[in-house]
Amino acid sequence: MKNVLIILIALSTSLGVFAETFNQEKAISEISTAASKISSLQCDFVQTKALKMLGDKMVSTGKLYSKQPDKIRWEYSSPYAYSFIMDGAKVKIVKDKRSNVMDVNQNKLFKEIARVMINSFTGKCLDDDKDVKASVSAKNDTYIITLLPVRKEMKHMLSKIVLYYDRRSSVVNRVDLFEKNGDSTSIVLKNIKKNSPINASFFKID
Amino acid sequence: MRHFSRLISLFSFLLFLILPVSAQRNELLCYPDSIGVRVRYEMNLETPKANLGGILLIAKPEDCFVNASLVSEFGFSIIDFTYDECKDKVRIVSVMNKLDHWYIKRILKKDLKKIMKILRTCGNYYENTSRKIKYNFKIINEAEESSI
Repeated sequence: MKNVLIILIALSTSLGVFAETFNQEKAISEISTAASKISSLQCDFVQTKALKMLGDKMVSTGKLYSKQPDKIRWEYSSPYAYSFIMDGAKVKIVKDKRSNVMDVNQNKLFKEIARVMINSFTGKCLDDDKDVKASVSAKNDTYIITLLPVRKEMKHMLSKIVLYYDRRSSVVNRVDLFEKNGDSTSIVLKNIKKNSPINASFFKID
Repeated sequence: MRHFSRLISLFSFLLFLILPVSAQRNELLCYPDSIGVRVRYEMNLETPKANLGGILLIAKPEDCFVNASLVSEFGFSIIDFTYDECKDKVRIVSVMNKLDHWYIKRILKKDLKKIMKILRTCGNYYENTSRKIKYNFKIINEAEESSI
C-alpha cells in the first residue's frame, strides 16, 4: 500500500512537471508568433522607479515609438523633457533644446539597453537565448515571462527582467526591471498601437 | 455697494488661500534640512568626451547623514552614496559596473563631497578643473511634477 502511494505521488508530480513544461512551450510559441507579426509599436508609458536605499519612488511619463529591427524613440515628458533616439547606427539624446549625437558602437551600453527594450516590448527576446534565459508562468489572461540575463554586460546591470504579456491584445503591457543594487523599475505601457505607421522623422538623426 | 463689498471680501478670501501656495512654490528647498525631507535635482555632467544626465535624489534619514542616489534618465541606478555631514565623508554604497574601479570611485568621492557642500549652500555648479568635469544642478519642483 505504501509503495502504491509513493508511485502515485511520483506519477502525479511528474505529470505536473510535464504539464508545466508543455504550457511553457506553448506560451513561448504563442508569444513568439505574435512578436513576429509586430513591425512597429507606439504607446504612452508610466515609469516608476523604486529606490531601495532612499525608500522612495520616482515617476516619469512619456511616449515610446519603436520600429523593427533597431529603431527606437524613447521620449520623456515628465518630470522633464528628454528624448533618446536610436536609428540603428547612431544615438541622439535631446535635452533642454540641446542634442548630442554619438555612434552606437561608441556606447555599447546604450545599444544594449535599446536592444533589450525593443525586444522586451515586442516579446522577441524569447527567441534569443544568447541574451536571456526565459521561463513563463500564467495568471488569468496574462503570461508572466521571467528573463534572466545571460550576457555579461546585462548581467552587471540587471538581475532579472519580468514581462507581462496580455493574451487578449497579444502584447507586452508591462516590463519590470530588477537591478543588482535592489532597485527596480516598472514600465507600464498604455494606449498601445501595433503596426500603425510612424512618421519616419521620429527616428531621424542628422 | 453691498454687492461690491461682498466681491471684495470674496477676493480677499481667495487671495488668502492662494498666497501661501505661491509662497510654498517659490521656497524650494535646495538641501534636506531635517529628518524625512527629500530633494530632487536634475543633474548634467559634462566631460571632454560626453555629456551625461540624470536625477539626483537626496534624503535625510537621520541627523548628520544624508542618503543620495543618482539615477540615469532611463531610470537605471548610477551611484548610491551616503554623506556624513558631521565628519564630511562620502561613502559609496553601490555604483554601476562601468564606474566600479578604485580610481574612478576616488574621483567620485572627492567630487561628491564638494557637491554636497555646494548644494547645502544652494549652489548649482561645480567644476573639477583637473579632470575637466562640469556638474550642473537644477532643482525639480515636485509640486509641479505631481500636478502633471
